[in-house]
Amino acid sequence: MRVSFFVTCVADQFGSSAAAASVRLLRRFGVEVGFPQDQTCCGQPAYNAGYADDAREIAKHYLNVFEKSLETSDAVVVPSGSCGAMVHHYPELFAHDPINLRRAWDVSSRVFELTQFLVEKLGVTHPGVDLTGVRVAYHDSCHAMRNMGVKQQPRILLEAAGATLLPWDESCCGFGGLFSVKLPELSSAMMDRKLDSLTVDAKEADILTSTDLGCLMQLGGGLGRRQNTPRVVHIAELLLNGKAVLEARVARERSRP
Amino acid sequence: MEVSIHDFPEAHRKALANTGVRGAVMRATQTFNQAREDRYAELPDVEALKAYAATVKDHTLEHLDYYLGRLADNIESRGGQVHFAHDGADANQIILAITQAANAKLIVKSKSMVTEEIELNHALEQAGMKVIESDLGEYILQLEGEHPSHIIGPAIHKPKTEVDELFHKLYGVPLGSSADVLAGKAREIIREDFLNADVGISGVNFAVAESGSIVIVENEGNARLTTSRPRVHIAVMGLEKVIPNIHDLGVFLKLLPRAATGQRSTVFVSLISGPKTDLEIDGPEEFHVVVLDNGRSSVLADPEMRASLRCIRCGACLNTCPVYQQLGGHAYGWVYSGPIGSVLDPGLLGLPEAKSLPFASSLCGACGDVCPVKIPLPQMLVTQRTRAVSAGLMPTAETLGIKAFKNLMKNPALYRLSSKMGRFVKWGKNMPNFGIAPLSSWQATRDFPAPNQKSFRDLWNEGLNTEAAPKLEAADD
Repeated sequence: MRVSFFVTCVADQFGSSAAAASVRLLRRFGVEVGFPQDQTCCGQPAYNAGYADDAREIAKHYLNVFEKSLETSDAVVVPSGSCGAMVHHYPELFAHDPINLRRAWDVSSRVFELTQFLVEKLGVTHPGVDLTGVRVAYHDSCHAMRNMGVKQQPRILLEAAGATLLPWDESCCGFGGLFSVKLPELSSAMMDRKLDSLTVDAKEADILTSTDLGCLMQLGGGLGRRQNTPRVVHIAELLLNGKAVLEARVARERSRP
Repeated sequence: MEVSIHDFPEAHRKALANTGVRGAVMRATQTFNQAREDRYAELPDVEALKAYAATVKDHTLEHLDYYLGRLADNIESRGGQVHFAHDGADANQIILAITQAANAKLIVKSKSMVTEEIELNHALEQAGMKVIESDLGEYILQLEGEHPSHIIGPAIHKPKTEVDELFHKLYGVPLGSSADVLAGKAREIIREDFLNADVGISGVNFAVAESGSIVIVENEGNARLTTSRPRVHIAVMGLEKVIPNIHDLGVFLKLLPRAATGQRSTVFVSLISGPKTDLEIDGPEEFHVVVLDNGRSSVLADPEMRASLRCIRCGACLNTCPVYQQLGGHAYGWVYSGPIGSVLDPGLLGLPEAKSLPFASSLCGACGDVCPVKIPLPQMLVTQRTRAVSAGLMPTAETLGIKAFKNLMKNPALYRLSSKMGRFVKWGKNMPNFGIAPLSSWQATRDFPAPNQKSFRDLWNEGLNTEAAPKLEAADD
C-alpha cells in the first residue's frame, strides 16, 4: 500500500512532530509514504468564511497536486480531520463545474483521516504500543466526526493499546477557524466549557488528544493559561510512542529556549 | 418582536456577561438534549422517519399552491374562513378587523411564534384590547415585558428564582415556592381570562390540507381552552405549515414531541376542523385561519434555502448548538434564533440586517444531526456566509486578508518561501502578542504556538523521507 501524505498547512507549520509521527506510524504498518512537495492548504479558512471563489482556486491547486500523486498511490492520508473534511466538501464547491466536480469526487473519495485509514483500510486493530494505565481524554473533531465518519476508529486504537478513555463534555471546542478570532469571546466561552469539563469530569486525565490540530491548538492554547493540566498530544504521537510521550514531552518542553 | 440582529456583536457580548441566563439556558438545553436523544433512540429507525418527514415537506413545498388551495377549500367547506396575508402588517390588519367585528375587549392567546414575528400583541394593544398570553412561559415573559428566547421554551433563559421573586411581588406567593405552586397561581388567574375572553388566538403546528384541519400540540391545556372557550378563534400560521393528509400527520406527531421536549407525545394534541356545528355543545362560533407569507415565498423561490421551510419549529437545533447554549436566544436579535434562525432570518429579513447570524457558528454541525426534517443547516450556514461575502458585506481588511491567503496557497514556491522566512526569527514556545488582531484576539484567552523550529517539510527533506520504518513489536494483548 502506498499513500500520499497530506500534511495540512497547520501541521506543517505548527505540528511538525505530529505530522512526522503520522508518517512513522503509517510506515510501522508497512505503508509506503510519499509527500507531494507542491501541496499547500485545502482552502478551508476561505471556504468556511464564505469566500467560495477563493476556496475554489485553492481547491484547484490541491486537486492538481493530489490528482497527480494518486496516479502512483492508493490514497491520501491526513493527520487533521477538518482539513480532510474540507476536501470532502470539494464536490459541493464544484457543483456547477462538471469537469472539476469529477476530479473532486475522484480525489475526495480517496482522502482518509489517519486513524480512519489505519482501521478501515489497513484493518489495524492494535497500534503496536502499550498505553496500559494511561488515562486519556479524547476530543472528537466535529468535522472529522460528522463529515468523515471518524468516531470509533481512534477509540478502537486507543483502547486496544490499553488506554482508559474518560468521559467528558462532547461539544465543539469552539475553534471554528476564523470564528475563533472573529468572535473570540464566544469561541473562548465554548472552549472554557470544554476545559472546565476536562478539569472536573476528566480530572484524572494524563493526556488530552484528538485527531485534529485545529482543535488541539484551541484547547491546548486555553490549557496554556491554566494550572495542573493534562498534556496535549496529537493522536499520532500517542499511537506511535505510547507511554514515552509522557516523559518525552516534559524533556522537550524543558529544553525549549 | 422588533428586529435588532444588527446589534449582534454588542448583544452577544452582553449575553456572555450574563452568567445567570447562561446557566439557566445551559441546564435547560442539556435536559432537552438528553430527553431528545433518549426518545429518538426508542424509534426503530429514526433516520428513516426523518427522511420520510423531509420528503413529505419537500413534496408539499413543491406543490404549495395546490395544497394551500385544498386547505382553504376544505376549511371553508366546514364554515371556517381563510385569510391570506402578504406580510405582518397585512396579517395584523386582518386580525384586527376580525377582533373589532367581534367587539373584542379581552383576547387570550396560546403560544405562537408567528404572532411574535408580526408583533401582533402590540397591534392589538394599540387598538385598545387587552391581550393575555396563556402559555405559562409566555405569561411570565408578558408580565416582565420580555420576548421569548426559545421556540418551544420561551422562558428557559429565566432562572426560577427570578420567577419566584416576580410572583412574590405581584401575587404574594411565598418565596421559594415549588414550580407547581407558581404554575397553579398563574393557572388560577388565567382561568378567569379564559372565561371572559372574546377572542382566542392560537398558532398552528400543522395544517392538514385534505381534511381542512389545524393541529396544535401542547402540554398545558391552554391552547385547547384558547381555541374552544372564546366565541371567536383565530389561528395564525406560516404558509409552510401545511401537510397533505392525515396519514402524514402521524409521522410528524412522532417526531415533533421527541425532537422538541423529548416526549413520546405531548399531553394534548388538538385537531380543529372548523367552528362549532349545530350538533356540538362547545367550540367557537367563528373560526378563522390566517396564512402568512412575510418573506416565506421568497425563501421558497430560493432553491438553496428552500429546505429551511421544512422546519417544524421543534427547537432541537437550538438546544444542541454550542453557540446557542452559551448565548440564549435574545442575543440573536429576533424571534427565530439558533441555527435555524441564522439561516432563516437572512431569508425573511434580508442579509444586510441579518448578516452577523450565519457567522455566529463554529460550523460544528451538531444542528444537522438532530434536525427531525433533515434541514442541511451547516451547509446553509456556509451558503449564507458566501452570499454575505458576494454582496460585499464583509470588512475590507478581511476580504484582502483572504485574497492574500489565497495567493499564498495557490503558489507552492511562495508558500515554501514564507515558511522559511517565518523561521528566521527564533520564537519561543508561543508567539509573542504584538497587539495586532487577529493574533491579539486569539491571545486574550489562549496561547498561540510559535511555528515549530523545523516545519514538517524540513523534517521530510532532512531525512524523514528515507528513514527506515519503525519496527512493529508484537502487541501484548
